Amino acid sequence: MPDPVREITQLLDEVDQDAVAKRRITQVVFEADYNIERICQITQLLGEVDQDAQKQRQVTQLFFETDFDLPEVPVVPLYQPGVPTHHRSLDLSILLYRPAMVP
Amino acid sequence: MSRRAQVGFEGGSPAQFDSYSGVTVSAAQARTGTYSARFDAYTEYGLLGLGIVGKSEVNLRIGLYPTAYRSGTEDGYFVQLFDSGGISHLSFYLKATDDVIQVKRGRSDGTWLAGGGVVPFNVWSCIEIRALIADAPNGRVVVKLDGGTVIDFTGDTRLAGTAEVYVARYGYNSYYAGVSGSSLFCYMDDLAINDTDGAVNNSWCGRAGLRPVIPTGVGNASGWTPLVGPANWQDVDEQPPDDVTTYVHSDVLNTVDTYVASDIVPDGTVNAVCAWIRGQLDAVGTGNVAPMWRIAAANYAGSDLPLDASWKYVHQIYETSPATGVAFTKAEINAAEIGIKVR
Repeated sequence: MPDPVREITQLLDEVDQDAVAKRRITQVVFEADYNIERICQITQLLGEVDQDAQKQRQVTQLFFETDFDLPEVPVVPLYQPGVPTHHRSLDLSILLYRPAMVP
Repeated sequence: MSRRAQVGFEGGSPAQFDSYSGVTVSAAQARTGTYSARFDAYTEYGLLGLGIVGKSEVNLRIGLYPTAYRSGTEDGYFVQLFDSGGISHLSFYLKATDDVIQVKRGRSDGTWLAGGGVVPFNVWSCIEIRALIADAPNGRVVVKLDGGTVIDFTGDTRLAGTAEVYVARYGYNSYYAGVSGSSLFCYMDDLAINDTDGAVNNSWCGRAGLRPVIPTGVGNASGWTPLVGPANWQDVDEQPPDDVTTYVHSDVLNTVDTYVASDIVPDGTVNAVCAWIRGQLDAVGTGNVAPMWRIAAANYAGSDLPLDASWKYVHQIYETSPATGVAFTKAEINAAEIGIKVR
């Protein structure tokens, strides 16, 4: 059978050293001697350890990065019916060699 | 979760890498936003991990702005994919003689697998990589250059060890021997890694870019205490971070700050958002901080992120809006406040 007092004492050594609750629990553990009331007190104190060890948070920078996708640049057709070709940047040689694009 | 990592260096610090050595952040070039990572020595590197679980198939995006090879004869390596045991499965580089993307199994002294696609120097290109780590015939590497496929290899992509990608190392290659290869001198931006899980971000990362959303004004809640102020947001808006010079602080659980934030200008769609917090505890102990969204007059706290007694970045990736459960819209982000909560 493991010794619960020894086990708790060992675990407390792993708790943050400057936790006030740790020192109080350690004292109670050594006084416990398997007394049920003292064990209950230990349990209650252990519940306070996490809160007791909480430290001040300091935040120096906050920002969000958004992965943002621009829409694809629309492909301008080489030829559009009814649109004068001189209004477009159009290489006439392309039209001449791609007759299928001319209606 | 399928977006496993994304970094645009908009914090102005290389510490946004999970770990790094030598690499700096520069505002001289940026594919999107203000900053990019600068690699200008062959020993420099930055790591992005996939968290506690590696994946056999991943998709990477790298905004790459090559500036030089270390010497005229040394190929320029820019990313290497490892398993959790430190085995290098794949190494990607530009060949010094023709600037073509190449991939080797293993390190720079490994087995050449395939090549294709000329990458221009001193301009930004978008390189997307799909890597399926497996023995032949099931392994696969596909590389896109600015959206066009330039490499499609099927075969053995697993060197040894576990058939997974656990961490990507950008920059320095783990085998350097003169002409066998060195690091590419370059800028990198808009890094992203997707796995194949989930309903979104489960394939190619696409050619998107990471744009910053930065506090610009007083928001709905100002529960934290500014060190300098006068307004809270003025102590958390610096890029790069000024750490001990200006910060907000609190040790009261569930205390909230939210801030009005900058807008995204162009039209487009949102793939994912990463909340970045740089913070510390005032002494050794425990304490968490959570990112906050305030959307349509409601607050949404993110995960508890643990701090310790030295300045560090913690982050959380959102693939969908906490308010709607579907993809963010630009209008939603522009109207939102961002913030922090003591946890």
